[in-house]
Formats: sequence, structure tokens, C-alpha cells
Amino acid sequence: MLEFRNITRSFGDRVVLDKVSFNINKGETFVIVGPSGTGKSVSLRIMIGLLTPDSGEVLLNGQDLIAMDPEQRSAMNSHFGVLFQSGALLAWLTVAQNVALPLLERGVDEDEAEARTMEALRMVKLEHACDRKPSEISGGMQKRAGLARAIVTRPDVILYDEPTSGLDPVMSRHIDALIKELQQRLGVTSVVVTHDLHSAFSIGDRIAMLSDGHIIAMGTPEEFCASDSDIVQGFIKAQFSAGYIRGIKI
Amino acid sequence: MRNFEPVFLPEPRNLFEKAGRMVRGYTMAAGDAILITIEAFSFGRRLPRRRAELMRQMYACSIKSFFIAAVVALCMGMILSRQAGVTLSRFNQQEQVGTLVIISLVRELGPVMTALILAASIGSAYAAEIGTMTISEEVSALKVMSINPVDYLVSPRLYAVLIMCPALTMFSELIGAFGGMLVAKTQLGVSPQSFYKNAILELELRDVYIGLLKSILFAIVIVTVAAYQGLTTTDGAVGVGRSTRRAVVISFLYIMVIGFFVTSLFY
Repeated sequence: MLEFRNITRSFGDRVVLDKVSFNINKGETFVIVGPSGTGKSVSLRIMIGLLTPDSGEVLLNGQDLIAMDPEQRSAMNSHFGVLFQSGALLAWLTVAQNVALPLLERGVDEDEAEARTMEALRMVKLEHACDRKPSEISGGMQKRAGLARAIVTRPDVILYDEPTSGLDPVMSRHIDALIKELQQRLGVTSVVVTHDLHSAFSIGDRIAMLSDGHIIAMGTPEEFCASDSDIVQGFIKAQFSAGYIRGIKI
Repeated sequence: MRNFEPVFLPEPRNLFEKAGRMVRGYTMAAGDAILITIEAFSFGRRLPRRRAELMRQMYACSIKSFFIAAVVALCMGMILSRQAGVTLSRFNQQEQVGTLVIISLVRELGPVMTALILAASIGSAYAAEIGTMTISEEVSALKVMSINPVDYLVSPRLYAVLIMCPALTMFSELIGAFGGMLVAKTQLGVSPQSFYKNAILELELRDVYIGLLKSILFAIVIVTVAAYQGLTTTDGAVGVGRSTRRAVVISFLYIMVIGFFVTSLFY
């Protein structure tokens, strides 16, 4: 469904992504993990057209997004919903207005937009805060509002940029559960960028790890845990003390 | 919908290369800013949909700048009247003070001072607001929702300032004239009737039009510079501060330079 083909991107002399390729299947949750500064967010920004790669292709249902002109690319964004790290809600709008914004901008009539907004807010259990401004709600609620905005347009692919960063462990697990629930209810393809392995193992169908501009491991959580890469094992052990993840001995 | 991606180049090897890079950077920035302005104008057709935002920006531009513009204009008119009056009275020509005050205000000081006030208050606010939105990914979120940030953020601001800058300029000129008349009456012994008569005698409709043309050009400069600085903000809070300062400084420079060239063109 979504394919990264030989994507290279550098910032000055620093090559952040070096011929990175992977394929994301329809309906799966694909998690990209890795330490900070390894190009996870850059990959995500390339997928949604906020950054242009130096070379390579990003294919959505066989169409190369990179080769499109800005207007075509903008139209293709209707296939994507994105939950940004900070929630990225507009400060002067209420939660409901923020969620309704993409619908109203696409010309959906106000009654339908309101109904779909409330439906999305109910899915993330935020209907009680619909009239509040982003500054009046907690960080976790802002992420849930951002998630409601990402799903309200019924996209084919939802991209999550560090969905649990800055949240306490309880709220992090709550967001994980929400991502899983939405994936099951809506059947969408999800791409999650995170350095939180708890989250990756809990929601991911497949996990890929980026390091030094390359994918060094990719597979199901079980395959990922069994990777013989020292970097992968070091990354896992840094986040978990000896024990089990989803029944797998580490 | 363009992305303002940072350009990374290797360290310049000598002074010529450094100078060349600088010229290239400024030219590209100017080009981008001009494109933003053209795009913002072209989105004028969508203003009826953005009327709430347009009204919000017009309110911020007028009511919130009203007091400071009035105080500055009043003081400016009084100072002009006092300074001109002292010199004119040496030649027993203090009756002419109205002419001098009104011509100075309408041709130059009204548009320039109002634009400087708007650049400092509204331009800096726009740069900080859009800059903060850029670094907190709100601008990116708009792009992903297929909403052009120039359409959603810049266009209503441009049209709001385009409407309010000339209006505020006219208002400043009236307040300034009132201040000048007040000083002329109380300190120079010139009656308001005489002040008004002399002011109107020399003032041509052309002066008003040229003054308004200046304020329209200044409005475009203020919003363009602020929007460009905001949309290209990087480096977090430090970057927002830098963009805000640049927006004010660059707007001030352009206002003075454009003011000079328009005056040279018509007078």
C-alpha cells in the first residue's frame, strides 16, 4: 500500500536516510523505532510531503508521491491523517472546531461536519471537552484531540509521530490502547514513529529499526526481538530489564 | 503549497563565495516573500469563507493599535506645530503653520508613522504567532490537512492590514491635525479657522491619494515580511525571537526606503 523505495535524505554533510526501503501493507500497524536523531521523524515527514528526499520514491497505491506537483501532492494528503508529537492544535479554536476544521475546509456541510466531529471525539472519549480551548486541556487530551482530527476525515493511512512522548506511563498505555482500538475499528493502515518500545511491542504488527540512516532490523515483534544486531539488542535492553515482552524472553 | 526547507551548503572557501552566498540568500528570500504575497492576494477570492478570521484580524489591527496610533499622531501634530510655529513666528508667518502641519502629515508623517506603529505592533505579533505555529507543527498540520497556510493564515491578515492601514493613517492624520491646531491656538495664537483655512488651501486631493498609496504599499510590506519570517522560523523559541526582531527591523527599513522612492516619484 505504502512503499519507501531507496529514499535518501541528507542535511548538509549528514546523511540521515541512506537508500532506505520498506513496504507497509494495507491494514497493518508498522512501527519505526530508533534512538533520537536517526531519521524516524524525517521518514514520516517525507511520507506526508513536508520534506523532499534527495532521491528515491514514495509510492502510495503505486503512485509516486515525490514526482507529483505540489497541488496533486496536496490532494493526495486526503489519504493521510497525522497525529503530530505536540498535537498541533490551533490555539484560538476549540477542540471541536479543531477537529471539524479539515472537514469544513473540504466543503463538507456544517451539520455533517458536526456529526462526524462528535463521532470522532466520542471515539477518543473527548466529547466532554469539545468546547474547551487546547490550552485548557492536558497534554494527553491534546493528543487525543489531535487523533480525533486525524481520523475525522476517514483517511486510509494514519501516521503517528511519537504518540506517547511527554506522557506519563498510564496515559502512554491509554494512547496505545486507543491506537489499537482505532486500528481494529477503522481498519486503517497505521505508521507509528516512536522510541518507546513498550508502545512499539504493544501496537505494532511489524517493527523496523533505523540506525545511522539504515534499516537494521525489520519484522514482527518476535522477529525483532530475535534480531542478532547488537544495536537492536542494546536498544531493547536499555528499555527493559531482563524479562519478557509479549511472552518473548529477552 | 510550498515547503520552506532549509538549504545546507558547505562552508564558503573565501570572502567572494561568502558574499555570493549572502546575495543568493537575500535574493531567494525576496523571491519567496514576493511569491507569498502574490499567493495571498490570489486567495482573496476565498475571503468570504474567511470573514470571521478577517474580522478578528481587522479588530486586532484597528482597535488594539488605535490608542497608540492616536497618542503618537497627537504628539506628532503638536510637535510639528510647535517647531514650525516657532520658526514661522520669527517672520510673522505663524498663520501658515496649518499648511505646514497638514502637508507634512498627509504626504509623509501620517503614512510612515502609522506604518511603523503597525510594523512594531501587528507585524511583530504576526511573525511571532506564525513562527510559533511553524515550530509547534501547526503549520505542518495545516499542510497535511490540505489547507494552504498562505490561504488560511496570511491572506486574511494581508487583507485586514490592507483595509486598516489606510484607515488608521487617515485617522492619525486627523488626530495629528487636531494636535497641531491645539498648539497653534494655545501657544501661537493662530485661530482654528485660520489653521483650517491655510491647511485646506495648500492641500491637494493628489496628496491624500499618494499618502494612501504609500500606506497600501506599507501594509503589503508589513504582512509580507512578517509572514515570510514566521513561515521560515526554525530553532524553537530562539528562532521565534529572531523572526520577530527581523520582521520589525526589515519592515522599518523597507517602509523608509519605499517612502523615499514614492515621494521621489510623485514630487
